[in-house]
Amino acid sequence: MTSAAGTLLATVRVDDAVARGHVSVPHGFGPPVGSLISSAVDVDVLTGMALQSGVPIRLEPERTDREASDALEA
Amino acid sequence: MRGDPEHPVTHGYTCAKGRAMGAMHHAPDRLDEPRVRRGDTLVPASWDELFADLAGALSRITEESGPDAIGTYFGSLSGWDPAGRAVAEAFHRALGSRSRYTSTTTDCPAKPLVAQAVLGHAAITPLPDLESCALLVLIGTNPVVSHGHTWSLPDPVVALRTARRRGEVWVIDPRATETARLATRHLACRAGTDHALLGHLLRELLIDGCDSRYLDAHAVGVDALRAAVERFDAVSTASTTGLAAPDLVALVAAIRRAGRVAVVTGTGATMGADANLTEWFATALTVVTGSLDRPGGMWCNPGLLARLDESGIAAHKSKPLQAGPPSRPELPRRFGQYPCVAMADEIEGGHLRALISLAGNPVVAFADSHRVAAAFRTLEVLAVADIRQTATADLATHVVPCTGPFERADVTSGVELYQPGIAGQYVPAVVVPGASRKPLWWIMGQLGARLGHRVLPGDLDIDDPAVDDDAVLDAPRGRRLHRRASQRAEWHHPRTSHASVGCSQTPTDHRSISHQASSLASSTARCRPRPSCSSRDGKGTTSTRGSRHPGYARTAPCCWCIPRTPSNQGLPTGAEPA
Repeated sequence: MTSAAGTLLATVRVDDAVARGHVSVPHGFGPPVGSLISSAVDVDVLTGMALQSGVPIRLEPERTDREASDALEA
Repeated sequence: MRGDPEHPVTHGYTCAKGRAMGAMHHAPDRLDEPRVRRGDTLVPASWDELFADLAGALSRITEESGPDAIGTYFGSLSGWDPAGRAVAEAFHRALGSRSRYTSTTTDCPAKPLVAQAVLGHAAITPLPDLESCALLVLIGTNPVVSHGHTWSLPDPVVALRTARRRGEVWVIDPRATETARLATRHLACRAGTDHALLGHLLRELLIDGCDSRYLDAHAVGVDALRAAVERFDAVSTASTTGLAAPDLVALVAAIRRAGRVAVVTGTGATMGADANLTEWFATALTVVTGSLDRPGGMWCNPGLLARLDESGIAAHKSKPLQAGPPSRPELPRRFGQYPCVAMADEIEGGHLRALISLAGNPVVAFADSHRVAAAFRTLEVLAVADIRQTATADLATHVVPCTGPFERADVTSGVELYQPGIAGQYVPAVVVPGASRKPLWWIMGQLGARLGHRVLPGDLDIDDPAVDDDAVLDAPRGRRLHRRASQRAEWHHPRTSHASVGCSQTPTDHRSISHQASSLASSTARCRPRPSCSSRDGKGTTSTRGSRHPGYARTAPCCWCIPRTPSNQGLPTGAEPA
């Protein structure tokens, strides 16, 4: 998962219970979801809270080293 | 771990976390001994060595940079340790530092923000009237798993099934959650657009379906609200939220049918970009329908020990907003704390040199995890008080092992505003503290003493061996407890008989718990909202007590002691426990 702030590597499961276009990530368990969250931009002006839900992300499969080097050569 | 079917609040229900507490108590990563960092390793130390090292470093930093260079982070779980939390807060006040942080600014600052702006007091937390609501709307919350956020709901499945049998339960969530499966209807509103759905409901209800008499009597700014929600027509709302137009029509119709509505938001709503607006609109929805502080809508739990209704709600005053910390002056300082997102900047800028982290795990919970971890590594002092080894404890300069929930006596005062009834509970420690673990109040008291501060409540002496959990929980903790004592609602537990909680005229008065409860009930009923409770023009809505409403039979004050034996209740042997 890649956001404007960073990336998060995780195992993703397709789940019909989650609305199309959404990824549900637990907060505080598993890999730190905070790595997708910026503490500098998208901070609420009234409370100083970071934007942590409804964060725009891109989802893509992790490339193995081999795939990455193949892609580089190509 | 077993539930107690006779418990008046839980009725024997236990949640997964509760059932896992035995495993947590015995977890291999429990913190056992104080440890102090020497280079790359954390070296076991005696308590004296830890305090000497920590106090020395804090003194030096204060001398060089002033008290703001020392910060305290209060994690969520510190709310479940009232004695530790109270002493830690007193310790922080004694330092005189503005660098105070809590988990509130990570997951729900919209709640106190809106409560203060609309209801007059940041701590007012409206709860759904589960006993009689005809329509319950849950937004971005999954109580079947979480048991609520600022709402502690025991036995959520039974509660939701009961509510659905009596009326309707609607769940608004982009995920078809475990809660949504129990709902009458589930609307998969696009993440970050709950405000648009609520704005649309307000728009339609202000046209047809609002409670005009209630609004005339209690609300101001209705025309401004009407103008603000005008833009949320059906077409634009359907487009924003991704919901079908007939779903919007159906929810509006359900609210008109029910008349009153109970609305709850959770972290799915309060951690988003539209959190403030969503929370404001959700509160406004309960006002517009005449549901706030009304049976079938929302009520406010004043707490058995916290007694919010006696804390005095100041008339609304607009105060100039305080600036954020030096590195992020553009951020607001609200509720006596800096936002957590500023912490990394404060450390990187050299303003924050020492951090005391209590019952929290900021490295995992905060935004920008990698940056936070990198900043924490540069701290001169990172004292982590917890019961298990966490990612934050891995970076600590001082690891401070605390007693766990089974190793200390406790009361429910930190969380009772969120409980479904006016109830309190005292539990004694059930096992002797293992290894070298110490209660947080003792740790902060000892650290305070080494810095020249007396931080225990009342006039308790930290070096008095007779001072224990019970003494700290018992001691007056400021104005509210004094007020409570003057209204015959002080609480006590007989030291000799191990456990009880109650309310009575004098500490030696061992009448039955039920009698004590009814004496509290009558003292509660005597209280009336003070004139100062209303906002500037006398029309604001404010907190009142569920016990005023005939529909709240189960929410009458109750006291509970564990285990339920005559001796624990100060009754003669063989008497029937209350």
